[in-house]
Amino acid sequence: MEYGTVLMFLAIALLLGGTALGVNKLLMPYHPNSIKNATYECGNEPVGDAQIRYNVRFYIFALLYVVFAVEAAFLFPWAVVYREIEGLLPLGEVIVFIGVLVLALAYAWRKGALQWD
Amino acid sequence: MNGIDQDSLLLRMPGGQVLVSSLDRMINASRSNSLWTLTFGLACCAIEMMATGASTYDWARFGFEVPSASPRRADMMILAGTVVRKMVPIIRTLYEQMPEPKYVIAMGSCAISGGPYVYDSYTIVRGMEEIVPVDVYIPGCPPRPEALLHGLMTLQDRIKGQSVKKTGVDA
Amino acid sequence: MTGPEALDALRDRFPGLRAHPPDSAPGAVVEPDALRSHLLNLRDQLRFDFLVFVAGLDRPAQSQMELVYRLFSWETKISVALRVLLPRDAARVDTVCDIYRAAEWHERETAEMFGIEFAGHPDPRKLLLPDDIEGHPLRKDFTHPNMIRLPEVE
Repeated sequence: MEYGTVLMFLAIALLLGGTALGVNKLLMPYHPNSIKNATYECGNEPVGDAQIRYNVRFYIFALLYVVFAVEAAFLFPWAVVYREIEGLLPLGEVIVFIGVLVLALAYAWRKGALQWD
Repeated sequence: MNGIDQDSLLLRMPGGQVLVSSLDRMINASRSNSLWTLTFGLACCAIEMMATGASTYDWARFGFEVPSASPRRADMMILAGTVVRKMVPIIRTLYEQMPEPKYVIAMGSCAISGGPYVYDSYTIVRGMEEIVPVDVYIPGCPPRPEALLHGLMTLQDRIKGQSVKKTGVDA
Repeated sequence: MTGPEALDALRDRFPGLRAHPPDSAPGAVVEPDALRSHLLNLRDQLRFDFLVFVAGLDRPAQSQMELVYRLFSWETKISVALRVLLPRDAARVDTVCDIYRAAEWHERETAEMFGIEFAGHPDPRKLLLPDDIEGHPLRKDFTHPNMIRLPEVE
């Protein structure tokens, strides 16, 4: 593996990003004042709380998404080495792996976590 | 920050002035061709401003693609319409909340000088230059979209004359 | 309830009901103390569920201030205007905000423009005028130092 190339890539990426931000920092107009840093509310004085309450359904869907996205991420290396291993062992292992997660999906389905309303 | 000093090393070294002037041209071209407007439409001139943003006169082809309602990402403020005294602190606050570099266009007679309401009005502000510093005045009642586009192009010309070198006034 | 039924009921309730000019909404003068009970009756029994506006008129010649409450019924499509006459220098009437919520802003505007006091209004701030203005602009005798008079053409 050509790790020297990776290092060069990393160095150029940092250099480009750093140059853009650095030149910006040198040349940008910067005049902060208290009104400019104040919270925006269409020109009026801000009234009330700035915290918005989110629907809890977003959290539940995000949680389910994380679990299944990680599962998909683990399936990729398995798919790469599948050919090179003899026998039914890889198949059996992946069936167990996916089986556990199918159980989790079935539980979430039955409990109504996938219903939006 | 805030630009390059007049007596800095960059300007004194050979080729430094050329570098800075090329930088100027690049920055000014980028700024003038991408002016996002804080559309402050208060009255009838707002309708002409909307017409300028619509398809026939289309200011998006000049780069004013996003008429942003928020001052935080706006480059210029087009104040189109009559200014009453109740609106003054709001205009000032929103002008202050715009980040530099910022420009102001006074569109229409009411924003320039009070317009048809100069006489017999108890609550009008006779011209928005009492509230915010104005860069371009566009006369008319209301100005046609072509006049507004001419004013915007005038503003673009003004921006092209600016520089990253520090001068006595703010950039 | 239909239109003619509503008009008959109105004529029973307000004997002096008349439309002046003839193609406008019929109107009647009511006492300031009886205003709230009339509005409640009109809203509940006669289905006038929409307060269109609360407007003021300044009559300095009769030393009176007049308030007009225009009501509309979506069911019968009838409009009616209730008029209240108040003394000009002590114009004071009870608020109707709890009967019609639309009255909140209408009363705020009428109060700042005419100087009429609406007793019991939940939020008596100025609506359209700056907070430090002196005087009431829609009165007939209003002037303000900020007004530059249009010069007379010779």
